[in-house]
Amino acid sequence: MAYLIESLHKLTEFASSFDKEVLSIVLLSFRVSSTAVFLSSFVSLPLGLLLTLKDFPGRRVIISIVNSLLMVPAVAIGLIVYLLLSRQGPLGAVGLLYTSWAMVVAQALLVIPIITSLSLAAFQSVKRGVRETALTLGANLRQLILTMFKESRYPLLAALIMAFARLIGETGMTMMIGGNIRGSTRVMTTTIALETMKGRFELAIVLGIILLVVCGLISIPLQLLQGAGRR
Amino acid sequence: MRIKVENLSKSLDGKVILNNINLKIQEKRATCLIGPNGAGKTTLLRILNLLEKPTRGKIYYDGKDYDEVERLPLQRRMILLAQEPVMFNTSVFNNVAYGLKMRKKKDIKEKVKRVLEMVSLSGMEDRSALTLSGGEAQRVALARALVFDPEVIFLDEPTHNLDPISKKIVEDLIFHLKSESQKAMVLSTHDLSFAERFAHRVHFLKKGKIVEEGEARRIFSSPSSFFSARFMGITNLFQGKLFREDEATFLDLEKLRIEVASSNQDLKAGKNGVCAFLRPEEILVSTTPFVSSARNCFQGKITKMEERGGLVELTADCGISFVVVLTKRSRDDLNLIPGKKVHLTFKASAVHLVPDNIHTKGGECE
Repeated sequence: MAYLIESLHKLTEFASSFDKEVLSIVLLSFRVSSTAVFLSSFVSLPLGLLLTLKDFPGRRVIISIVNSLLMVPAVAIGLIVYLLLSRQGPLGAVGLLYTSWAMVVAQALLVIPIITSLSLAAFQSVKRGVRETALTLGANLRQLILTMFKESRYPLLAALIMAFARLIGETGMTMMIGGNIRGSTRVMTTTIALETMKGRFELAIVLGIILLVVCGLISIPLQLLQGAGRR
Repeated sequence: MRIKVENLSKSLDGKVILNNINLKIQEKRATCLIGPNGAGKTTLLRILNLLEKPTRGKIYYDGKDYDEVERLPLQRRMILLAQEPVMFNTSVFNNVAYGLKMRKKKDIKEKVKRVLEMVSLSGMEDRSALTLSGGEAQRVALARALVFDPEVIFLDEPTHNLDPISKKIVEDLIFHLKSESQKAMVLSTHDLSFAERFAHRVHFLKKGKIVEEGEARRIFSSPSSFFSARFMGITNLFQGKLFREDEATFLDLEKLRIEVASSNQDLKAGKNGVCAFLRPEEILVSTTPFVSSARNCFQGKITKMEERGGLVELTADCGISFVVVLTKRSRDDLNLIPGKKVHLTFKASAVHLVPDNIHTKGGECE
């Protein structure tokens, strides 16, 4: 127990002289994960919309693929991205490995199936009658798409938040790709893992608390949105 | 002529939904599609509104082939009001303004205000459309359709499932539109009396086919319309002879005399026999004799009661059997049970007369 009390004692010292390093770690976590969500939504949302609106051959196959990609473990994606970006890999020349952009790429790949699947469900929750009402009222394709986004805004936003929550807590893959380099690719989860292993609990605890608070805060709008969507 | 339909057929998964439909829809005219559920009315309206494609056949709008013109400009000249109105998840204002915004029109606020007045929903602009009652939603849907002044309005059973107040407002509005505007209106319904009052032209659909069509006035008094009425499952069909007594006209059903409202023409044709039908909704049930202006009041005994959807279908024997439809609440309030004595009351004008041309037996038509 002594080490815990010790840590908590240090924690107060620590918090009072709020560390620049902590701040930069927290900010990087947010930046990487939100960029990943932002970028992947450019792939996932149109795909979800296309799968909802168009009935083309192979549509069911794509949906099955997306659903099975949900099962792929993060560490496998980490391995693939690592192999692609490593010096000998096909994209090695770009020199992305162990940068925050490499983390963004891996995280984006991780959530593309998640956002696609959730947005598909969100778009499909818009009843066929809504689409047909838009058409009979004279909507063109662009206006129809806009209406679809408006009608599914709550579950869509919930999907993005859930994807963000998944990423902000992602550890192993991010460590593999980013390398957990101090001042450059160290995010909350990787720092917690490292500091815990080193036995320096105070930083781990501070970051752990921040992480929990973030996840807690995220779940509030999520609950509200899911409630609003159900109405 | 606005729309011309030629040899239109539609099949889905091997099932024939529409079979060789030919139809003309004209400006300033009200057309009614009548038929039981599953007759293909909704599919026909959806095809006319470009929401579905026919399997075979041609449709022309102002002489131009549907297949050869761009979808959007054509679709923007018409509107289909679905049977169950669908509201966008936003305010009433945004719902009504939708068509105007799509068309990038001006003075949206003014127009929305005016059309909401027409459907008696003034001041509801900011209300969330998802919180509206069924009747209000149907009126908003109607406002949303009328606000951009379409050339053709398709209405799919617009008064289906509406409360009496909304039904009256929607019906009045439809009649107003019919008399005031240049629009072509096409309305599907299984409400025969509404069709009779509303339509210039009537088409009876059965299993995807038009089995009968013509000018409404002719259809509703012609022999074959009786057949149409029968296939629609209208109960209370009677056969008898008309005679006059004390300046009133009666239908003699041997066991019973029903007073009817008739013209001289009816009387002349009816001396040799007429058929009459009476909608079950037009009959009032009471447990004591009911004093009113209605000319027909008979005493009888309940022989059968069946629940149909939210309503109760009651059969009462007054010498001949009448079928009456009433709500469960009315049944409970009057404590109606089989065997109980009841009085049936209906107006002379509620009895529809058509010349007799089908095989009949006793006082009740088969």
